[in-house]
Amino acid sequence: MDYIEFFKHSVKESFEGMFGEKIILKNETKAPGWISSKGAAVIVGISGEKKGRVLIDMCLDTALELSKILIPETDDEELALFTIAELCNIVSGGATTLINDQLRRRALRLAPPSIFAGSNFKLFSPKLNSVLLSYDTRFGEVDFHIGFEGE
Amino acid sequence: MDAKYINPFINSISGVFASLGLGEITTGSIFRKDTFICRYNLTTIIGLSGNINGNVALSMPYDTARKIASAMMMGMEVEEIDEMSVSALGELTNMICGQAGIEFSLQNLVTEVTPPTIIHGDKMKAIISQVETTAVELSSPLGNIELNLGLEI
Repeated sequence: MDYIEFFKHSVKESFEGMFGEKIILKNETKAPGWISSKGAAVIVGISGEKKGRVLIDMCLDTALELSKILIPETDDEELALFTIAELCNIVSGGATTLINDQLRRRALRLAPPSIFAGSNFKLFSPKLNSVLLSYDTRFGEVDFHIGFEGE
Repeated sequence: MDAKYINPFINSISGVFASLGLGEITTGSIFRKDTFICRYNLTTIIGLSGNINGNVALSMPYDTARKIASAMMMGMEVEEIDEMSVSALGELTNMICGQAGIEFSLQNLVTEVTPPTIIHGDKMKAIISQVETTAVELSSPLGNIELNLGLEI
């Protein structure tokens, strides 16, 4: 997938810019079909010349810790979910802007984020070939599943 | 939410169900949600971008999803939602949103759809719009379906 380097760049820039914390790529693999969520997941769909989606997944505790960087002493689950939705939105927006700028014929557009949380759920996006980027942060693991049709 | 944004989806669900031989759809109550706890344990979701930005989610009981997938696969027995039946459910959502997109184009509203994702789990919390979500209760011969529209318009 020739887009993945744009997403890696955007994850690092966006995460470190938003939270002022390091994010370290631990592993890059072909993503599984069914994704068993760690507890909190956000999907940002991609349309245009190439269809795809970005899915971020982490524990709810990790999301809560990240939201506390932005608003200290908060312990609001909904705010934590909106925080990671914004992270997913910024990462996706950064990467698609780079792709649209550098691969000029690619006009990619984003749908707004959708957020899912729960103790036991799984997700599947048919027909997408996805790459799983697993990151380590001080607050726990953060996974990005980036998939496009026909890649 | 204005009916002009809701009706194309209800019409397209009715049309797609009829064309696939899945039976007649009856519309129940329409109400607003801020955040929704998924009433049913299987949800398919598609994003929209263009003149209408947002997400469309169809939420249904697992058993209804199983029956729909089976009917879409020419009556093949579906004991559990596997990768093949998930593709059928994704395609159903694609067809519904694509058909609604054609109806929107008649109002000069251009929308593009993103690939579908299917989510399965109990007692899930979902937020498909940071503005508002409108839910429409639908019933079909294969079971109940809840249409959730999170459109930023």
